[in-house]
Amino acid sequence: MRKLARLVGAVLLLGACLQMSGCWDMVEVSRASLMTGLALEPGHNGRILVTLEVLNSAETMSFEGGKGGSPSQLYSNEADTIVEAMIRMNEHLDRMLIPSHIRVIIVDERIAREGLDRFMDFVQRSRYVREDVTLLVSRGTKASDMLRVAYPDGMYAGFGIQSQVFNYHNNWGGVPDSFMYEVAQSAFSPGKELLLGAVTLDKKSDKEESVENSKKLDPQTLVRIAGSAAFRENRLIGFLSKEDTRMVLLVTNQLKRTTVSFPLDGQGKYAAIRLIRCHTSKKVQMIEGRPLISINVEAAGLVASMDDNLAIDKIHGYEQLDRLASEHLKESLTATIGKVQKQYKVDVFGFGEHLYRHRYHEFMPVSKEWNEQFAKAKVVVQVSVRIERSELKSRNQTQNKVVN
Amino acid sequence: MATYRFRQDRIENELRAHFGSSADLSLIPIRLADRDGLLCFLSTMTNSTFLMNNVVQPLLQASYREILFDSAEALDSLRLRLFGGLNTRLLEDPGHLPEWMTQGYAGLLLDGQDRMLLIHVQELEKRSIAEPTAQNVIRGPKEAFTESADTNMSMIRRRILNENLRFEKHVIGSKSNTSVYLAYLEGEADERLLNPIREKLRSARLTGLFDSGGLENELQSNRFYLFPTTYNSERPDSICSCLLDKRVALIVNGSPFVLIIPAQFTDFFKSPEDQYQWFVFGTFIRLLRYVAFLFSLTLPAFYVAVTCYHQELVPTLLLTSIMAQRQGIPFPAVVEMFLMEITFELLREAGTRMPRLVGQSISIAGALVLGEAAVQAGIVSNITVIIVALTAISGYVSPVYTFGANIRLFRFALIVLSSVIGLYGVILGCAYLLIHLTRIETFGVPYLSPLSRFSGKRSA
Repeated sequence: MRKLARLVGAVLLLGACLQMSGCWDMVEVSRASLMTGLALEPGHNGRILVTLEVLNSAETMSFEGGKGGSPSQLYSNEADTIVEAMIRMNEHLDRMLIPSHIRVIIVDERIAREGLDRFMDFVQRSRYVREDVTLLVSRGTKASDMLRVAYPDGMYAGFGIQSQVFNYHNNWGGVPDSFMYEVAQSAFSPGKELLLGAVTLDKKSDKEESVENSKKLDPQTLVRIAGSAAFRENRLIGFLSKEDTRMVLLVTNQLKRTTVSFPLDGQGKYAAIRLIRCHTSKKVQMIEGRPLISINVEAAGLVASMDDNLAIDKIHGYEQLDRLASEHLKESLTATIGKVQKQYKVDVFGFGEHLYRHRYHEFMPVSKEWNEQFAKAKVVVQVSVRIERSELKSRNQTQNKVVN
Repeated sequence: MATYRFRQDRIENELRAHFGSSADLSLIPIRLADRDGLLCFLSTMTNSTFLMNNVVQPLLQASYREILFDSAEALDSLRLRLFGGLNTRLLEDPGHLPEWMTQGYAGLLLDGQDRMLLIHVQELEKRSIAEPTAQNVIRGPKEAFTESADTNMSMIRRRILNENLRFEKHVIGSKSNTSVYLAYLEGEADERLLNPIREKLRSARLTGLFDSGGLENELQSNRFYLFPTTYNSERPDSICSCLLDKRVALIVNGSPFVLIIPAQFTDFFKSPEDQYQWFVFGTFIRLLRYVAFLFSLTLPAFYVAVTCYHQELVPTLLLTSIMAQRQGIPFPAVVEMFLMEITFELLREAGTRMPRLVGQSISIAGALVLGEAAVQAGIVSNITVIIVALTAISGYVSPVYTFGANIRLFRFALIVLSSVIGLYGVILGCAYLLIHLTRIETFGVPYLSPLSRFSGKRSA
């Protein structure tokens, strides 16, 4: 009898479970859409204009019934908070939104100047937004226009921009990798200011954007990476050029690979060195109330191209190239640091953080006004580039004529 | 003279009463040296050539002068001189005659004798040893057990040339009287294991036993165990290695599958072939089987949970692809999954049961009509078909078919759970399964025993 009672109980319990099927938070994917991009702009009366890029997944798969339609569509809404604008998106949109696969968040320059705090709380609080979303600042153009650019082969702007940033960061280093978690990281590390990637639009005509754009041989509109945006206490204060950004990344050890071109003799002949490993060691100390920053860059590279025919089949040829490359890199680095010190007066390099970690007692008295301290710091730069080899050939092909 | 028990006419009548009008009852009156006699046997338990060569010929050619038919030892001397090589015995009680005849003995009766001679003439047609059909290997012995227990025992004996090998006979089935042989290595197999098994065999209440599968259910300590607690194999090499491993085999006459007790969880992932290969490859394949087991258990449930509740777990590009495929599918993911799983089960069942000649039509209907066309018609999505196919293939990786079959049932439960509460349900189901596995015990051996030993005492 007890057995029977238990069996009946189990069946009833399972039955109740079945009744609740899907009551938890079931989303049927065939009736939902992915949200892949988010653009934030100032709206009317101090409200926020939120633009969402919503994926039309069938069109992103050209081999599975994509009919050449637009892979994504944009929906905008205005409200006092981002959450409200997003949740009310069904005023225009027919589907349920899945926010967890968002690829990029693009913040308009105008909002960024007012401060990121207003929207960061939402994205950090939400469990559906990943911490490794690419967070970018749009420079000189409306943020939502970035999402209007069509990429070829069913690629949508959100994913396209993310992969553009990723590849540029990895190959040349003109943009920080710009993940969302860096906002929190810089907030929690004293002596380091936030640096985010900046993007802008290259527009050749004023025509309406369409998918056709991506089918042209010469696309009329392109997203262009515009270096980086420097912040002070989460407010945008200015932009760094791509070259300057690269130097900042070199100092912060975030530079993966890059290529440096430098003049060989001042007569229009250049050499290009592909740097494959870079490492920067820093030393920051307070000397008589003034920070002394020593930077030591060590890099290894290989010869990618050379207009002149230096004798790099001999040791002295390599040594000459090493010296030229090091000098060039040192000049650019010093110039960049000087520029940031004078123009922006914010420590995007994280020298303060280095001091905080290594010489805590020296940092604490100046922690409140570290950026001012940084602006007047003395910087000593040392660069040593070591060229390990040439790529396939050691001599310039044109010089390799047959000698009788 | 009326008192003596073995009178020809009386025996004849008794046998006719016992066997009724059964057509295979042979009663052959004979005359030996001027005495009447009777040869009685069941023609279905022997064959005529054997009988002619071994019984009738010697009787005809014998010189009867040496045999004193009048003495009480006539049958004894007959047995010694004529049937020396055969298994013979003397019967005192005529009431047991039918019993012996069903076991393949022929009775030889001579007038004036107080006993009867029983000669073992069982010579049956049997299937010759063939290649295994359910448990194939590429490298390794290619013979499989047959339906005859004698052949099977001989195949084991041939491999283990050890005087300690025992075959203990038990008879099971109140009506079928099937012989079951308990095989073990004396001194190796533990008495604490043997005695409960003997007890089980003695107390088994079956009317008939026609395959070891029937005995398997009888030996299961709890009918609701989800996993088989006996291992079965049609491969002599696999059984022999288990015998050496201090285990016990049960050979059921009439079944080509021999049972091994006790079985552990890990046994169902072992193929004898693993031992015959380079150990690295064998280990790899064995690990692959565990992966396949997990696949066949959880993959459909995982898919349903992830697409319905946890889209954030899927890589973006994969999710876009899934969404694109599911566009316009009329059913929820779980219904779609059930539809395809049930379809596959139908196909599998039809494929196993149908006559071999119509095999082609099933594969065409299954592969083309149900797979391709269902996707084309937009009833199910491609990804579901892939999941179901992968699950199905994984289910057949286990070297023991019955193991995979039980898992299939639990898979359905997991799909229901996952459709109700998502990944949480899958985890709950798997946790239940793990607890269940740790609780199973067969004849004192924990089911997960090589992997985990919770009881310190028992492992010592």
